[in-house]
Order: sequence, then C-alpha cells, then structure tokens
Amino acid sequence: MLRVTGVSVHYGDVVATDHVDLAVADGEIAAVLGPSGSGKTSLLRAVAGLEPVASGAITWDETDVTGTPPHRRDFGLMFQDHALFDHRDVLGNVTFGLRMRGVRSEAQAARAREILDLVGLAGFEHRRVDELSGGEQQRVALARALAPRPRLLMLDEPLAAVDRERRDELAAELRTIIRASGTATLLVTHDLDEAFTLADSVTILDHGRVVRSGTAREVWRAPGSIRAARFLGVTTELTLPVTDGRVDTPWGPVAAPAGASPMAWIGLRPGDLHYQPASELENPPDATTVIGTVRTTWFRGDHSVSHIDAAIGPLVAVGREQPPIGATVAVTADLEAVVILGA
Amino acid sequence: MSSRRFGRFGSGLLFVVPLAFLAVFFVWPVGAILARGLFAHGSLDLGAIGDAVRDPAIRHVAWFTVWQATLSTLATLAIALAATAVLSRYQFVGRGLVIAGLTMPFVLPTVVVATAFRGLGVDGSLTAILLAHAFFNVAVVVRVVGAAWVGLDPRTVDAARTLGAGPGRTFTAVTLPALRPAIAAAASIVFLFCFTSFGVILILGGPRFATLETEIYRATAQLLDLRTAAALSVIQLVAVAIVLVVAGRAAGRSRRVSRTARTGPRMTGARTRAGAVLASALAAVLVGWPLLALVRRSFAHGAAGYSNLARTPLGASSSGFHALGTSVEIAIVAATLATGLGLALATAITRPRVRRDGNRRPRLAVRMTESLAVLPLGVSAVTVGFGFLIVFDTPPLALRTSWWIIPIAHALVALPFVVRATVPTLRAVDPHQREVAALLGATPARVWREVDARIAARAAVVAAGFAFASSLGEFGATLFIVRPETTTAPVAIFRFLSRPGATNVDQAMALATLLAALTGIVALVGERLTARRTTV
Repeated sequence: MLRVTGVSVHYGDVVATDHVDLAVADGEIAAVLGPSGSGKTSLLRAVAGLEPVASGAITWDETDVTGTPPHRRDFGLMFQDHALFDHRDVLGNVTFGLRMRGVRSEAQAARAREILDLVGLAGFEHRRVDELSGGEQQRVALARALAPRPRLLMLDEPLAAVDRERRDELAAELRTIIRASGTATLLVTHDLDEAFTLADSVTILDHGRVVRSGTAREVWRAPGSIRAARFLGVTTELTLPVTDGRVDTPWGPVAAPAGASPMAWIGLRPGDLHYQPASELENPPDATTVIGTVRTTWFRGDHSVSHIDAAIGPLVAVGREQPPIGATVAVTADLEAVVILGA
Repeated sequence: MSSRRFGRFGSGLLFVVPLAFLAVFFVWPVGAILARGLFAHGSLDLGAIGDAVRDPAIRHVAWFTVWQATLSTLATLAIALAATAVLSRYQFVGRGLVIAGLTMPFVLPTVVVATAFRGLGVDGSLTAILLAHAFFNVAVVVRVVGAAWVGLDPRTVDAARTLGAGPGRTFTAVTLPALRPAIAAAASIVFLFCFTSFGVILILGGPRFATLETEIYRATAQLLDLRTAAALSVIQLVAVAIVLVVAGRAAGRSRRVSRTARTGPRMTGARTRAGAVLASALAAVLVGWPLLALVRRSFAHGAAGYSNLARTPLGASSSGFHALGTSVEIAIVAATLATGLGLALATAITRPRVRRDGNRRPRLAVRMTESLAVLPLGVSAVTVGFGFLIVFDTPPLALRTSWWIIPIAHALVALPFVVRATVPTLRAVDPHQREVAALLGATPARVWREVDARIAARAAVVAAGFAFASSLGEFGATLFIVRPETTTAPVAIFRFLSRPGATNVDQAMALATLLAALTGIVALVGERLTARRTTV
C-alpha cells in the first residue's frame, strides 16, 4: 500500500505540490486528476523518486522510501511519450527491468512471453519499436513497466497520445490488463473520462493541493472547490441565499452543505439544464421553468448547446433542436447532479 | 545510499581529471605567456607590448593579419554561399558527393594544402593565400549555413509567396533574414581561422607576407626574442577574444534556426541541372584542381619523390616515412587522450542533476567547465606551442624532451572539437529514457551504460576520427616543441620545402600526398559513421 503524507515539491520558489496526502491500496487503481499546472506530474515524479521532496514522506507498507533512489523503489512508470528504448526491439524493452534485477535469461523469456500475451502483443518480440503504431508502442511501454512485477505501477497521462476514437477502447483494455496484473496503480491525468474510466478512486489536485478525493461518483457530485467544479464540467454558476439549511433554486429546493451561509454556490453542467422553445410549452410556464433568450448556440449532432440569458444569470443548457439566436426558450433542470458549495 | 555517494564521487572524477589536464596544459602555458607579456621583474610592465605596438614592422604585420582575414572571409563567403544555395535547394544525383568534396578539405592538414597550392605555382602571392583559406573554410559555411537553410520551414516561403512576394522578394525578405545568424556565425568562425592561420601563411606567404602568428614563430625560433613573442601573443589573444565574443553572439542567435526539423532540399526540375553543374564545377575547381596538382607534382620525377622518403636526407635525423610513422603513433595517442577527456567532460557537463532546492539550472561549475573546455578552440595553435615552450622547458614539468609533449599538445588542440561534437548528442538523450531505466532498476552507472553510452559511442568514434585527423595535420603547435626524433609528417614537409633543390620539393609533394590520402581516409570513415546517424 502506497501512502503519501504531506508531500511538497518545490522548484526554486515555485511550489508544485503543497502537502499532498494520498493513498493507493493493493490492487487499487487511483487517479490524480487536475488541470495542467496543478502539480500532478510533480507528484508522480516525487513518488517515483525522480524529484526530491521538500517535505513529507512517501511510504510503502509502512516502510519509508522517501530517500530511496528510483532504481531501488521497485515502482514502474509509463510515460505519456512512452520513452521506449528505440535501439532495442520489443523483447529488449520488455526484459530490461528483468535484466537489471539479474533474472536468468530463460526466466526472462518466459516472463516476457507471459506479459506480451497479456498486452496482446504475442509474436512481436523481435519487432523494432519505432515501427509500431502508437497503440502498440503504448502496450510495449505497459508491458515493460509490468514485466518486473513492480509493487506500484504509475501512469502519466496514459491515453493522451491516443486518437479520440480509440480512447474508450484502449481505456477499457488498459483497465483489463492492469486488473489482471493485480498491481496497485497510480495514474495522473487531466482528462475526466480517462480518470473515471480507469480509476477506482479519484483525487482532484488544484494549485498543488488536494481539493477532493473519493470515488468517481463522489468527486463528480462534490468536486471540493469552485475551480475543481469548473474543471469537472460545470458551466452554469448561480450564487443564491441559504435559508434553513436549504437553497431555493428556480427549479426547486436543494439541501445546502454544512457551513454554507449566508450564500451558496450552485453549479450545473450543460446536461443538467434542458431548454425547449417557449412556444412549444403546453401549459403556461410554472414556477420550475426559467424563461430566457438564446445568445449563442452550437449544433452538436444529436443535440444542441445554447448559452441563454435569463433573469437569474447566464445559463448553458442542451436541447434537441437548434433554436435561432434571440429565440425565447424555457429552461428546466434536473437537480440530481447539482454541485453545491459554500460561496 | 552508498551507491549514490559513489555516483557523486564518480561524476566528480569526470570533472577533475579533464579539468586538471586543462589547468596544467592550457591555463598554465597561456598564463605564462600573459605573465611574460604583461609583467617584468614582478611588476606590471607594458613596455614590451608598447614597443611592439610602436614598431612599424609589427604594425604592418597586424594590419595585414586583419586585412587578409577579412578578404579571405569575403572570398570564402562568396564561393560558399553560391554552392550552399544550390546544395540546399536542389536535389540532384551526386549532391552528396559534391557536399563531401566541398567539406572534406576542412580536415586536410594546412601544410598539405599549402604544399598543394605551391604545386600550382601561385605561391608568394596574396591570391594563393586567399584561395588556400577559401579551400579550407568553404566547408565551414556549407556545413553551418547549409544546415540552417535545409532546416528552414518551407511553409514560411510558401506563406510569403501566397502573400504576393515574388521569388526574389521572398529570398530577400524571408530566407535571407532567417539565414543571417547562421551566415554571421559561419563568417566569424572563418574569420577566426584565417586570422590565426599559420601553416598556409608560413609556406605560401614567402618573405613578403607575415601575420601575427608567423611573427610569433619568427621572433621565437629565428630571433630568439621571447619578449617580443610574448607581447605579440598577448596582442593575438586579445584580438582572438574579441572575435570570439562576436562569434559567440552570432552563434547564440543561430542556435534557434538550427533546432528546427530538417526537411531536406525539395526542388527539382529545370533549374536543377544548372545548379548541379555550378556546384560541381565549384567543387571541382576549388578542391579538385589543387589536390590533383599536388598528386601530379608528386610524380614530377617518376616515383623518385616517394622512394626518397625512405632515405634519411643529409642534415636531417629521420626519413619522410619515419616522420609519417611518428605522426600516426602520435595521432593514436592524441586521439585516445582527446576522446577520453572530451567524453568525460561532455558526460560531466550533460549529466542530469537535480539539486536539493529543485533548481534545474546547471551549476556555475558546469557552465564554467563547458566554456573552459571549448576555449582552446579560440586560442591559436601557435600560442599553445609557444606556451608549452616556455612552461615545460624547466622543472617542475620539464616535458620538453619527452615524446609525450606532442600528443598532449595535439589532444589539447582537438579537445574542444570532441566536446563540441559529443555534448549535443548527449544532450539529445531523452531524459525520460534515463528515468525509465532507473525505475526499472538500473543503477546510475548502469543507466549511463544502457542509455547514454550507446548513443555517445558513435559520437565518440566520430570525434576520435576527427581528433586523429587533426593530430595528423597539426603544425603550428608542433613546430615550437618538435625535436629531431619526433619530427612529424607536416613538420617534415615544411622542412623539405625550406630546403633548396627539386629532390626536396618532390619529397614534400610525395609526403603531402600520402598525408592527404591518410587524413582523407580517416575523414571518410568518420563521414560514413555520421551519415548513417543522420540519414539525410
């Protein structure tokens, strides 16, 4: 089990991570999610031993490894750019860690076969790595990291270099492989989908600090900070008064978080708000419908996204049809996934 | 933790050994020259320099030094830019051969080139000096400007054309400004080489033409006037320092250009043939003609020139063949020394180090080492030779009579080239590869062996080849410290040329031909190895 306690990484005067706490249980896949510049890569490098920590401790099963050089940590890392050894073939890359550990060559070959099978590259042993496709290179990098059976696997933006169409597929594949290896895994990414698809738990990092951690669902519902909420897709923001522990939104009441008083910050994602042309309303607008004017609108194929000016403020909502600019629309809300924070 | 400490100790050694070498064999001799030129009887005394500056003969020499270097640079640029324009823009059969032909002279010994131009019978004239300088330095311009030109983003030219600029306008408004830093850098290097040119002037200048370099030699070897020699050396050092600062500025700006991806020449079609003819003709006339003349002249009296090389001439202590053998022996030792020290320095300079405070700028020591390592590049060989002469003549290090002093001097002259050739290669190593190797369990030493060494190996071979060729041709420093039994081939050629009689000229031509062939082969092997890496 990896435990990171109060780890800070400094570059000169710049604080990259600030007293970060984090844990990865055996067999767990944990994601650190944050925008670029949030300190997630510095954190990963500190865990790997590639970056000295200014304060804090990194332990594995209660043993302090903070000062252990990278080659004695027994942690594997897969870089975003793969960093394959291009002067070696696939086999040479995959067996590198085994050679460093002095594993006998027969055992090396057996393990290489096993791991190449796992990543679906059986028979690729003697291919040059620079002749492989991006996806194949990634699998070689994964096999190379996993071959010596590291205690911890670290992934740096594992799907960033992959085409959008192939992402879901590769994410699922990656998850299956990592699960099959049973290795504790720490991944850092700025991509929500990547984190949510791959990880059991998600930690949100912002300006070097942990603002929230939990399961994907928990983090999605309560991102921990306004910045994190925006990062997690909130596009409509309302600041409303709190009365008797609840907030009355135009669409109905929601419970206010403890300590949110006198005002609360309400965040909604485009999918939480739906609009339709006001003319199509069968009944006159009731109390849970907000009327507004379309300012701009984007066609998105199966739906449209519109920026709507309403009395309560600007809203970003989805609708089935694309309305003309200036049209009057009625906006309804699904408050199931609303984000509420102290203002 | 213990291996970490060992790693630090090891990387310390990488610094200490080469730095000690530079301190003893570079800083000390140059310091001694400065001391002699600037101090007398323990106090600052600019009398010697003042005398030199006031001497009309020396003023004339200094003026000629600057003047000929300027003219040589202009002549080189005129020829080389025409060739580069063709080679960078047109792809044609034999393009590689023309590039090889034009760049090969750079490694040829100065004495060989001077001898070749003497074979043309144009010696004793300014034209001969300018042509010989162009012969050498066209390579510098073709390499430096050619790399920048080929690396230019062709889309900027396309953009200019779509914005309404004609071909001529596009060239003057887009291409030329982009190349200006590279041209300035190349011009400064050429100027520096011509300014410190020694062998060419000594052999081709005859009694009429002298530069600061040849004057230092004359004052030392013929007039035994070390005071004037030291004063001239100080003047020379100051002048070189000024040129280096200017060159450094120009090169610093050109670095951005050369970083862009190489795209290779892309034009073909009607004008290609004209361009190909022009470039080939230039290469043939400038490079082929003098070399052919040298070979032809070496057979002027049948094979007599060659067969006589086996004999020890009257008044000399060894034969021409013996000198060639000595040169090869010295070159092997010098190349080994230069490559070993250069590689250690390059590794120490480029070694990734993370400081406790996370600051990633290289330490002052690293930056100073890099500057110190390339400094001998600017200091002329004559200065090195003169410095060796005055420092190692007496204890504590009376190396004057030692065989080792010559390979050491040659290694010193080649060291900056080795460092310059290997540092960019080692810098280009993806740091992620080192980190991955470490995380996979490789110790720091193993990381170096598995990642860096493989990449450095080829650069080291190329650098060793260059150091070998440079030692084979080294003349300026050697002439000061050579002893009869350590006569090298270039010195032997010079001695043959200084003696009267056709027999001696035949032998000079024959030995120069052999030396040219030997360095040519070494350069060709080196070229092959680099070509495979860059695959243009």
